[in-house]
Amino acid sequence: MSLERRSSRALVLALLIFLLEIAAVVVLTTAPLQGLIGPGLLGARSALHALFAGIVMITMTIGVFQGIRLWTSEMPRIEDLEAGSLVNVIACLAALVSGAVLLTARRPDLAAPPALRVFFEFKQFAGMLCLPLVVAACSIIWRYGEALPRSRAVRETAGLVLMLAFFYFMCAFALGAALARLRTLQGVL
Amino acid sequence: MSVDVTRNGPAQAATLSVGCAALVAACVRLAAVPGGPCASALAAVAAVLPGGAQAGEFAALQAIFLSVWLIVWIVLDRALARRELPVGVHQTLFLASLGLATTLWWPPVAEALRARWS
Repeated sequence: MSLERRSSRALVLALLIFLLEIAAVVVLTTAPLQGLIGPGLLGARSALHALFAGIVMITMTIGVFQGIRLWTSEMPRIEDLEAGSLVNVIACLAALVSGAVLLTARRPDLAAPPALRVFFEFKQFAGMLCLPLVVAACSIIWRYGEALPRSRAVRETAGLVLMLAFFYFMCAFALGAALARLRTLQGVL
Repeated sequence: MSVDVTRNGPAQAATLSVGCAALVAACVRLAAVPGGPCASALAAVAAVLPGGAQAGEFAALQAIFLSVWLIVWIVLDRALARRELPVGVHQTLFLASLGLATTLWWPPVAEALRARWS
């Protein structure tokens, strides 16, 4: 690598860090964070659940690409698969626990309209399925390890489970986002 | 847990246990007609869980789902540890159980089935 190219990359990185610092300082000192999170314990719990769901969105997207590659025999590196699947499990566990904690803060006196209850109940089911699916994929990847490329059946099973986990997560995520919006509008759930 | 990497049994056990647990949870929810014995049992399970009073029936269903999943996984893992299984059959079983559980969990379907049986 030439000296010129290295110095250019360092300059760009330094500039990016500088700009990020300015942005972070400006945002942190001026943003009405209380308004973003919402008042009380319920607001903090909702924000935490949404944050973890956002993280799962990233890990699941990586997972589904790895799953497609497993399915189509384009083996990713085993180390990448192992790390990705483990991070996926941790993120799903955090989202599930924060969802359970959020559920305990729900006000039972606020009855939701039947139409919203349908989506809420299905969201709960879809979210509940994500953790076992990613744990199953993670266990297959970790237990078979280097032997994974040699067994087509096992590779396809792991790929299928990762794709299914993504599907159920997308159901839960989309319905969760829609219901959060409706909750704001109607003050229910 | 050690695994015989030349056999696909452990991989099929991991997936089948999820399908089985989803199906059991969906059937329990379907059977939990308000005021019925199954709903009372679910309420009793929810009452002993932390935060179960607020979370209600779903907390109990989630606990049942996770328990069934782990128990079935351990049992199937031991049973299938050294076996090479026909993948097509097991993947079909897994997908069918997951699809059926998803359909049964969908509230309009569950309510229609409950109304038909009651």
